[in-house]
Amino acid sequence: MKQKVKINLPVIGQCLLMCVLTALMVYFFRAHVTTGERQHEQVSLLFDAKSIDAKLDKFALTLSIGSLRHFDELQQLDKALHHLTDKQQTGQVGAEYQAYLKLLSHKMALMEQLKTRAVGMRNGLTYLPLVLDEMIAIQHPQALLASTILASLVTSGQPLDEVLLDTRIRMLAETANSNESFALLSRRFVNHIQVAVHYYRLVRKTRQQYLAIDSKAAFASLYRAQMDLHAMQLQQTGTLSEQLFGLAVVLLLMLLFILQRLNKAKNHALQASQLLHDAIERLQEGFALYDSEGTLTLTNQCWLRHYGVLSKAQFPQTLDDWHLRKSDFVHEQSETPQRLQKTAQGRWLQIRHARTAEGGYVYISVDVTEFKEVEAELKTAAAVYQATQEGIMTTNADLEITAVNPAFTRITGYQEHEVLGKKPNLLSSGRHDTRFYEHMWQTLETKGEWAAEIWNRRKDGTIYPEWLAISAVQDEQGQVQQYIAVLSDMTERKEQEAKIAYQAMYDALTGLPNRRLLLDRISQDLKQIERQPHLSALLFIDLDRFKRINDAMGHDAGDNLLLEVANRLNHLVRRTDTLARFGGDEFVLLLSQISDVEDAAKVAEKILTSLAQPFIINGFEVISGASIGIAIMPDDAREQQEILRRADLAMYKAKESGRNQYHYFAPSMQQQVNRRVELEQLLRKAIANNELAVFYQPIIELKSGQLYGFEALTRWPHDGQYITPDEFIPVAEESGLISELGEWMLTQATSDIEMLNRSLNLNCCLSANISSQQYRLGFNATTLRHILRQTGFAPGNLALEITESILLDDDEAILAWLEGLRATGAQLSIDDFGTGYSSLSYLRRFPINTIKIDKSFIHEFAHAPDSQNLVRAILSMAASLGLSVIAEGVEHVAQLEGLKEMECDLVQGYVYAKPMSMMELQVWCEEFCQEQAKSLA
Amino acid sequence: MLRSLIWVLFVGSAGAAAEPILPLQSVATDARKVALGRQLFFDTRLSRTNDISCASCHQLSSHGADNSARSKGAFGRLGEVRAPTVYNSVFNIRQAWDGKAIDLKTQVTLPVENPKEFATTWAELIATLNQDQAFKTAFTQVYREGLSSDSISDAIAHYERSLITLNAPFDLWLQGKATLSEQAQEGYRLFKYYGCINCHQGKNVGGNMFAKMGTFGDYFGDRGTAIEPSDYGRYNVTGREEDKFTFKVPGLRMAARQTYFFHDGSEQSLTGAINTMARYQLGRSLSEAELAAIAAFLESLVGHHQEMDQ
Repeated sequence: MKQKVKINLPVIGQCLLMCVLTALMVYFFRAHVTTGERQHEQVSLLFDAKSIDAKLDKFALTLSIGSLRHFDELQQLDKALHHLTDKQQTGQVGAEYQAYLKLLSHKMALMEQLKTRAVGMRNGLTYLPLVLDEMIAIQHPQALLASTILASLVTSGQPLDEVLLDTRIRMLAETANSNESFALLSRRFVNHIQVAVHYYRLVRKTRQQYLAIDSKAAFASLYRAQMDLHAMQLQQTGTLSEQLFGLAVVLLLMLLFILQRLNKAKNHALQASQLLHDAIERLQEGFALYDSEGTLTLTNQCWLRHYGVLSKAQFPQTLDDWHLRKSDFVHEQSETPQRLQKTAQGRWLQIRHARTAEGGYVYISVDVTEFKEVEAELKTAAAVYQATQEGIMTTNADLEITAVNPAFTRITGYQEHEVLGKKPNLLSSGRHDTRFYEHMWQTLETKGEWAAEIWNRRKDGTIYPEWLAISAVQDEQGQVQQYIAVLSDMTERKEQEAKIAYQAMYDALTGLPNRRLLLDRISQDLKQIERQPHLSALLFIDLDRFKRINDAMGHDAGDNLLLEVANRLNHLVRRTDTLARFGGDEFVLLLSQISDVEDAAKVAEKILTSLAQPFIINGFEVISGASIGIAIMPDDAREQQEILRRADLAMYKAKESGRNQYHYFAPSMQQQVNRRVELEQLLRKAIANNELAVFYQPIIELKSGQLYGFEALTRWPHDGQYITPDEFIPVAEESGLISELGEWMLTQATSDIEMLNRSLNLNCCLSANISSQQYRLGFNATTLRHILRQTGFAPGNLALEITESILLDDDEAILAWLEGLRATGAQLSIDDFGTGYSSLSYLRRFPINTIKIDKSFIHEFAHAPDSQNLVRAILSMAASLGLSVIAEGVEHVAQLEGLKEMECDLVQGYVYAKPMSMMELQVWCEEFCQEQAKSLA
Repeated sequence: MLRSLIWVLFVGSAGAAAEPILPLQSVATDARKVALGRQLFFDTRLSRTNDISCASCHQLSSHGADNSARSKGAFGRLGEVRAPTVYNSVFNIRQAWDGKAIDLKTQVTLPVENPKEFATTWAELIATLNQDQAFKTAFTQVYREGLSSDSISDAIAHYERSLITLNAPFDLWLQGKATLSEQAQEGYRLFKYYGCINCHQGKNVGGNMFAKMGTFGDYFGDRGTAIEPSDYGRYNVTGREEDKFTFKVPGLRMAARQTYFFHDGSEQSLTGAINTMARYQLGRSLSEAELAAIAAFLESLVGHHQEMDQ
């Protein structure tokens, strides 16, 4: 009720105010404006009438003295009076005014009569002076009388004696005149004077009537009435003003009252609002209020924080706006008043809304992000519990099972209902003694957790290994509330471990023990030798041609070959022996506890025989063969790595001495190895220090005896003597130093010969050796071009010497490589031709220009007819293929003669010159050239 | 001495600068109303018989009056008095011989229902005119209320207000813009000397007062015809005995062109009329020369209006 009054008070006040204001305006208009205007108009009319009155009086005077020339102005006055009369006047003043106007009309009518009569009098008088003049002129006897009559009529100021006038006129009229002209004039005079007098009397009468009208008094009364009316109106206005003042005071008081009430209400409202605001701000929930218009009226900080805005202004100000921007400010206005929504900031809000009595909406938001997270964690935990591969079992403090997960059932075979309330010892395998369990409980008690690998029994009675981790869950007082056991079946893992262990020790392809197991066995055997001395042999078996088979037929075939080899070897060994696959195509056989060193040779022979037999691989017959190195324990070595290395060395020795051989390790072998290692180090140093030198041996055209060119030969001066290329080139090839060495040599040689050619104006060729290792290490046409560009040597004058062995691989890649080198313009030459697998086919296939007959054939030239035949054959073959031939190692004139006879193109050897340093070569060349010139001359 | 005194008193200062006759000037009018009024002025539908218009009796091309002693109305009925000129009638103090109409607008209403004139009724007249849609439309554009006795009268009155004859030779002479013949000047002098000027003064040379017909002698007795009610003149309006035989003094602006004179149309020549006036109003007789001079003066009063060119 009270609230209702509060709401209505301003409305009532406003209505009252409006009514009073309207009333005031009406009063004011009536009191002032209308009264004033009417008063003004009336007074104006009043004075218009008065003006007419005054003018009429003036005209009357002018008219009576006869000085008015025309009546147009008087006519104007008449029209003005008609105009006034036409204006209808009503009211109190109207009556007085009309009376006055009527009076004026009367005056005007009299004025009309006055006009007519005055004119009549004037008409009568006009002729009289002329008549009088004539009477006087003819000495008319009544001239004096006539003069007196006229004078008495026109003399103003004195009252006219009308009786005397009439008597005189009658006298004049009655006087009989004998003279005709006297009588005529007398008649005329009397005639006109009578008209004049007649009108004079009428004028006088009308004037008297006019003057009798007291228009002044009428106006005075009219004016008074007007003034009275005005006074009355003034009084009314005064009264109205007083009423106005009273009203204004009442209004003001009312206003004050309303203001006071409003102020009070405002204070109440403010207080209430502050209370409300404070209460809302204290809420832990977000709060927002939209009024019935859908406008946001109230929010608290919590609400703004939930939506991630700083001020209320940033939040949508209307429900519609909110709806439009709900991607920024989530808002699902749904029938369910409560639902979870995710804000743009990633917070989860539970927003509830309700309609207010006014028709608006109130919103409450609760940030449930943390609950949501906990819930999610719980869900995850539950999912993990359900899905984990590890069995989980919980018990209470009395060790009664309270829960198990599906994995538990899967591992143990027990369903949940079968174990609930039971003790965990139903799983006990009986393999662990009481001490084991005592230890477990003790650990749990002290550390709160325990884990170990144990054996348990499944429901079906099988015993299985299990990893068991138990945690004791304690309450706040430290009392154990429950135990959580996590158990995982280790059966599979154990199997996996075994498999891994096997894989670690055995070769996956052949199933033979691998290098690791072999080493283990060797060391075991060595240990046993120490305890109980005996002999054991280690056979290092390397398959011949395996790489070629692998490359030619594929890895699959290679693998099959290895399997077949392993199979054959397995049949040849005792059970106590260890046959291992050492890697690639290498097998190692450990013959433990042999009675004699020769036993190893017997086994090796058996193996060689067996492996020499053809294999059928993928339907093809393949011949492999093997090389075997044998080392004896403990004679050759007492350490596993060492014994292996020695067996390996022996195998290499066997391989060097031809395939399908076996070889016992000898101490010289080790010395050779040691020498190689030493040489490699020295060579590395020598290259780095630029200690190597290039020597040149001339090549002569046999027919002409002219200088053809030189072969470049690397020389290594060391400790005052030269280390031979035969010794250090293999070392360089094995260590990879050949790459650097070869390129250096080529650069040096081309540079030297270019210089020589220029200085002696020669055009000599240069032969340089290229190792097959250089091919593998990346030497190619690009490198060659680079070197030639660098030194400026003509490519056509360069012959690259390669060995036959490189061609044996018969590889497309080799072919491409050689063709690339040929493309630079350089020539290709086969070195040491005839020592290897000399074959016509590769001479055709490969882009070869020259062959060099190996010096061994030349050495045997004199006393071995076979060699002569061979050389002849080579020369004829070369001629047929269009190849040129160089014979090297020619030392004697006899050899030279023989070659000359066979029409060999070019020769090289001591018979002409030994290899020389650059300085020596220059001297030699100069001398040779001089001799040439001499002989020609 | 006495004679000069009388001159001063009654004739007024003839030699003074101010003359008793003033030049004519046009009156402000509403051109649209004038045009409507002119249309109605010439419209014979105003009469019941559709043969009589205002212009029938007020012949504007000549003098604005009728060329007969009594005008013919509808059905050939004759009017009671001679139709006076409509030219310069706006300056009259009252309209009609007896001054029964206070102004032109009031005067216009009189002939419509007069059986001797248009002999119709307002209702009938308005109904007739309303049938003319074009006229009705044009009329309604000026008078919102449409055709009514008031609006029709107002329009005609407006037209009549425009009928002012300007630039009379006498007016131009008065204003010093032109010369005037010796005879006319002599006529003007005689006009004032004999006292004609007493009644015939102002811009309309009369028309602004009433005067009794026959100040000297008995005009109606001498006329030789019986006295008719219309001869009582202003008495018919005021009912006052002394107004008997009193008439509005006619303006003389168009008098020189008129063919009939006086309210009864009894005189047909200008000099005859001047002579009658001198005899009955001034008690004088004039010589032929004097009559001719005054006639010449009256001729000089005639101004011009475009209707005369039609």
